[in-house]
Amino acid sequence: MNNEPKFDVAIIGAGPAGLAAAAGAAKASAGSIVIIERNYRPGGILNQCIHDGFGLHRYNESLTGPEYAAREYDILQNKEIANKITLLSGTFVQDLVAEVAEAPGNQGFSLTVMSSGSIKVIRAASVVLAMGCRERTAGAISLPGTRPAGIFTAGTVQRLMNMQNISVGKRAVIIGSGDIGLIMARRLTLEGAEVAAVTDIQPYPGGLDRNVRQCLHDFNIPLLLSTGIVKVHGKKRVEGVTAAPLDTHGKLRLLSSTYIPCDTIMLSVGLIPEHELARSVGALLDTSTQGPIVDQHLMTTVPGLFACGNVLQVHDLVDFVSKEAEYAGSCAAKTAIAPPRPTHRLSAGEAQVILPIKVGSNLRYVLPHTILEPGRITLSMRVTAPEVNFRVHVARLEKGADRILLTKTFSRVSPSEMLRFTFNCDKMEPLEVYGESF
Amino acid sequence: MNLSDQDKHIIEEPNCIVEKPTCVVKSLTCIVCPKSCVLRVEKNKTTRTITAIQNAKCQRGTVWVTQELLHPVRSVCSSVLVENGTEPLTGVRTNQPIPRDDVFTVMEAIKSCRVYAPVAMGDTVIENPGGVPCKVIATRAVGRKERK
Repeated sequence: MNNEPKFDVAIIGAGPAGLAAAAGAAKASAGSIVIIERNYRPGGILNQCIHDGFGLHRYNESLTGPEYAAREYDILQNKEIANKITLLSGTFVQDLVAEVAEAPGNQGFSLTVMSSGSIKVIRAASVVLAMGCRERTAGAISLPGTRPAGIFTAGTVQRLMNMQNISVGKRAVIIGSGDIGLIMARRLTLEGAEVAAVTDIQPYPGGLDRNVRQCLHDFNIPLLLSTGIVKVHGKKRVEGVTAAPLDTHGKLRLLSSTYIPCDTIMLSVGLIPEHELARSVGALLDTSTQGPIVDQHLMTTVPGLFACGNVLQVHDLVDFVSKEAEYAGSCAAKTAIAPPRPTHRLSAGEAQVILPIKVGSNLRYVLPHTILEPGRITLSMRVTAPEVNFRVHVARLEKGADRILLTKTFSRVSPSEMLRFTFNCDKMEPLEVYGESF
Repeated sequence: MNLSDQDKHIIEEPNCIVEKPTCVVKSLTCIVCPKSCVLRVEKNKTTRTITAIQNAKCQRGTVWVTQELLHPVRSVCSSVLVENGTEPLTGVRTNQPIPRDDVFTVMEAIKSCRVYAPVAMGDTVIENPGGVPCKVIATRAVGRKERK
């Protein structure tokens, strides 16, 4: 079992998270890094995101997806780190197993990887999960009505149109106003198709405001908020949808329903982290993010297993994915090369202190979930509803005077945006992060 | 910078317009960066000039909103057919923002264009598409298909 090549860090996925994690691991002195990518080229979803707007924070310019991916890949071509990194493209991770450590510091993972014509086992001291996420489908939202041809997820349409030159239809209704749906509404319009409407059951758009403006308003595409789908019509091909406004209790007002003829339905109704491998190796998942539970170093509940990017939490901007992944990669490298990890730093019989960060009011989730040691912690979170003049407090869990340790003020917040800031944790104590409007 | 109470909803609601006797007050979502500031702009009705801009968190927003109201521009991103390539398409974009009214003119030029592999990132695919002064450049490298 120990004859297979052993890498310091194995990274699963060569999208924006995987590439930045490799750079982070290399900079943190990992000696050997392997990136395992299912596709034949690195870049992940960025390759099909041909619109611009990427890299405004990281590179201070507006890049398209493939250009952003090329920049990230170029970082790995730097001669100081290029010889440490192996990219296995066209390779799929079939199985991930945490090996039982024979001695402290000898822990690791074995990965069964498949590529065209071969199957082999790779070993690594630590593993970074960077597989991104999947789209929610018609089944996932229990879309009522028939199931004819012509129902796609927005990412599938994006791949068909931008990579494979396949047009999907002439007149589309987009269900859900996530960013990919908005971007694809513009893309369809530019390519000569008509977008009859974009609907969302929420009273606010699911994507960023700037995308609503530049993708819908520019082309006079109606955005029907607080609107649900009553029925999909059509036998062989989609013929139309019936949509109806929701009342204040969230029930469809069927008497005011409208029929919208269309030949295509595109769904942009959210993403689910690709968490199968994390689950199979025994990592605990957060029911809210559906990604793994992590500590401040982005390590999951399985020692040596890290997560970053959209497999950890669905991000709004790729710039933050890269930043988070660099950090996860560097933590994975440190764990691999200096194995007395936090859990092993303690003498025998002493228990590891793991303190929770509680998710307080008005927030859907807060990451990381736990604290192991004092230090600078990057907190990321999403709110439950749009608010104007909003404050987020980081406080001691214990009630009492002076419990608030840090307050951040935001003029506008929305569930479509991730809030991110750093917090200096000088003392080990259980925390609560909560939001309030003022 | 203090807003009167009756104007307050303008900053809270993006894309809202209030007509006043002498001026129009508009709120616009800035698209320069993902912060999506909701800018409040006052435009004089008779002179058609911008008299006040509020709520921009940075200078770029002020510049953008002036441009947006007087002469809106956009970047165009699309794809172009590749002959003999390992993939059927390459991504393209305009090398600079173009007037918003010219977007479909540029799209027509992009649609009727095809390039031959190999394509490198940054290659100029079309000069002055449809007469609009800009370049359309490739954003994704596509290799040449090997003959067997």
